[in-house]
Amino acid sequence: MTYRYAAGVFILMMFTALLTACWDKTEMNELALVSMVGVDIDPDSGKKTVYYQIINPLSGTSARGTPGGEQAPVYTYEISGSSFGEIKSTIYKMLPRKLFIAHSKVLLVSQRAAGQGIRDIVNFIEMQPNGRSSVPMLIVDGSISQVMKTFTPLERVPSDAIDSRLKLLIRNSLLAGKHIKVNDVIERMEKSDTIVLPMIAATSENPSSNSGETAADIDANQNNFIIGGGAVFRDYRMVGKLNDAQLVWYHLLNGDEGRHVRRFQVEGKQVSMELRLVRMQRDVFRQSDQPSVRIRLDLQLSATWANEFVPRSRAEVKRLEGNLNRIIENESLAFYQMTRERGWDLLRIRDLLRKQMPNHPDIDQAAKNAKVTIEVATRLLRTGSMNQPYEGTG
Amino acid sequence: MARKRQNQSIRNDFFEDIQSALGYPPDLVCRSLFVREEQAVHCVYLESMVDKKTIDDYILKSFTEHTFAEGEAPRSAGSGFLREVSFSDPYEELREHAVKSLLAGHCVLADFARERVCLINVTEPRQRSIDEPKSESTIRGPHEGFTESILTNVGLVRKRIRNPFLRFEKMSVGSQTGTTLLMVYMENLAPDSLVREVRGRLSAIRTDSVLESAYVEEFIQDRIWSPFPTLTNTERPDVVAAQLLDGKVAVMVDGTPSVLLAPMTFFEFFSSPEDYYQRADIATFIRWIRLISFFTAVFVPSLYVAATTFHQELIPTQLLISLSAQREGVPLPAFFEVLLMEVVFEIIREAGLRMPRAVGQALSIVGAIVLGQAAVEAGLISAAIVIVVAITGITNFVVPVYSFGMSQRLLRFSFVLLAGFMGLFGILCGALFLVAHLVSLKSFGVPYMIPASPSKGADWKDVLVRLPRPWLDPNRLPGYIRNLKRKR
Repeated sequence: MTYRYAAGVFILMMFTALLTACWDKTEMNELALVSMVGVDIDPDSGKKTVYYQIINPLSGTSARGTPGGEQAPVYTYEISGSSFGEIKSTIYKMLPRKLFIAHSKVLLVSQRAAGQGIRDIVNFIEMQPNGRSSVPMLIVDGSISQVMKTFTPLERVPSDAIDSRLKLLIRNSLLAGKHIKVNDVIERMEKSDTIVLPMIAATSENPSSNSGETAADIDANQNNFIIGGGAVFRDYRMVGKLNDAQLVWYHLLNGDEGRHVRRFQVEGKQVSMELRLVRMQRDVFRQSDQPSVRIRLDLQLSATWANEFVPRSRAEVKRLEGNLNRIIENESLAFYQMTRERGWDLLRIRDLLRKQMPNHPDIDQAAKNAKVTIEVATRLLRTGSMNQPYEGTG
Repeated sequence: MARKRQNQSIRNDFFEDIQSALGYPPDLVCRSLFVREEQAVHCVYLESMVDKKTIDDYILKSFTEHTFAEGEAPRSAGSGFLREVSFSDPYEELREHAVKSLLAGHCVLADFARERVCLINVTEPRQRSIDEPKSESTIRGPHEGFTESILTNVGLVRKRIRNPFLRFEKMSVGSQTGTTLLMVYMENLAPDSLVREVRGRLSAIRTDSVLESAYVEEFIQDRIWSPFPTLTNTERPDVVAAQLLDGKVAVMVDGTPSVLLAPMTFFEFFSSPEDYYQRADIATFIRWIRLISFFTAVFVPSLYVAATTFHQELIPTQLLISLSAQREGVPLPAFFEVLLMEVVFEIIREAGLRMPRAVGQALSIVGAIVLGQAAVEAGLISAAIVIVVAITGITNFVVPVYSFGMSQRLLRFSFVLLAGFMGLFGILCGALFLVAHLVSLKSFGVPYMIPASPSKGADWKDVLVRLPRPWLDPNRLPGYIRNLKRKR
């Protein structure tokens, strides 16, 4: 019995040799905690530049000594090379600590690099042993170097600022959606679908590189960056842009559920309404041998922000709902027509047909020729706290 | 005349021999009373062991006041009180009896008139009063604790269980100390096999001395190489009573307030009879706190070492930044930091136990301020380590049984070593070994991990939750005790 026990212990001890051990040990103060990665590729020379934004732990309030204050919350390291693999080694010419990107929150890609293709960049992120592909990917409109070297007010670490803004935008608007992560990009691109990624741009030409100055400036719009617009990707390449108005229809027709307030012109009157998607149904059926797609959107309306006009009777509510149904149907259909003309399958009709009609001989052609109808049913469920706005009529 | 000479010689030799056998102790008293000429009565006793008032009032007075009729001797009230040895017995035997009796606190009365030696039990052992046990204090419930006197302890148990089935079996162990042991059980509740097993193990003890119940525990425990106790000990009579009523067996040892209880299972260390002095919901909550505390005490330092040196990606970003900031400029690796602080904490704790109370306060100030605050400020250790060590230190005391808390300390160090060498894999390997060890343990034939392994669904009712009293069967014994009884 004792021998068997000893033998068991010995065998298990042998197995432990295969496991991670002291040689994998890294103390936390030997790590460079990467918060944001930026990638740029020069289209002429093909030179790749990677920006690593490293968190300075001593700037935090938990640090010993002077909390925050004079220290920058992040440091941006910029390194160039002919390949991403090369950069992995040459980074240590400048960086004194072990690169640790498991906690990076955002991936930025320059617009010019996105135009050439992001396949290499995505592979670079995926291949890193402790890399994460569940981080949002944003396209930089303008100079990536400028964005990477911008300190953000209030949220001291820029990646936190971007991450937090995206979360708020997803909840409180239809300007950003949930499917903007690197792994979403890979999934969509591998299925030959399209994806729209948010864009980011610096607000000033020459942002201050001093965190103290940024923190001392009352104008938060200076030395900042702004998220706006969307970059359309197909086959790992950026093929176009969407403006904010178009992004609303894109996200709505893709099932995003953010509460978005938009002003509509109804019967000559302006009215601001908050929309929220309750349910989206997409049906495929054959019509004269062509596939036809019917998209039905059930929207919940709120007049909380309608300071211009508040419907006062049931008839007015019904009429408002009817008008909004028509307006939203028309505008979203116009959006669809625009994407179709440009050859962007932003409503993912192809993916839908592939699922619903798996035996169709030519899905690509069927998706192009599919007739798309959009039906909208809105219901005004919430009104504001006033049943009549102040009009100053005496 | 010849007889007179013989008496004289016995008298001289006898007292000389007794004194020499005991090494001329300072508390040996020999008092002589001349009842009649040449017919003295000699009274010998150890002053430190006897009740002198009894000797004066009942023994010596009876000779001086001539309350006995001619030829009559003081008779015993019961067996054990008085024993007579005649001069006609072999002299060696006479002396041996006398020495043993003196050491047991008897008075040796040599009556040369009647040619006999009377051994009279007048013991009054020095003992303290019944106090609340210091290591097992309670908020609600009886505050009595056992004392060093085994008879007092018997009384404390009897007071709680007035039942003719309560059995006390007397044994004597220790060739030098001759310590009295009592095996206590309820004849109608305790399984025969268990009683036989305990009796067998107790009678197999071969040792020269037993000064504390821990001596006995080491002889009768199931496995030597295990950090887990398979018996528990308590100084509280209510705990012993509760366990006896659960069909368990207690072992009382004379000279110590700690009473052993067997068998014990792993989960029983998390419940306490005090649970039944609280409302059911509160008792359940406290049981969970104890369980969480056990895992905290054993695993938190090792998890900290593993997460901060091997698996930083597991730590939330903000926490990682904060921990990383604390570690800036700290010279020691996290593993050594934890090990060092744990060792220092154990040293402070051990020193605190031995220190006089007045100095103990100063020690705790030094420990808390100098080693905690100052070491962090000096940049020798990171602040998080102090929190980790403090949490584990506090949670270690939550388990109601002190000996179980000791095993947690050992386990904690093993896991820190494993985490320092192999990270989470090490902890996992260690945890697997621990589980394998736990399920292989038995306490007096009862699987240690019951009801988890072997799994007994019905027995869980009073393990993780404490059901309200009216919902519990009043005659219900623990599942494994019922099994042992059924096997019979």
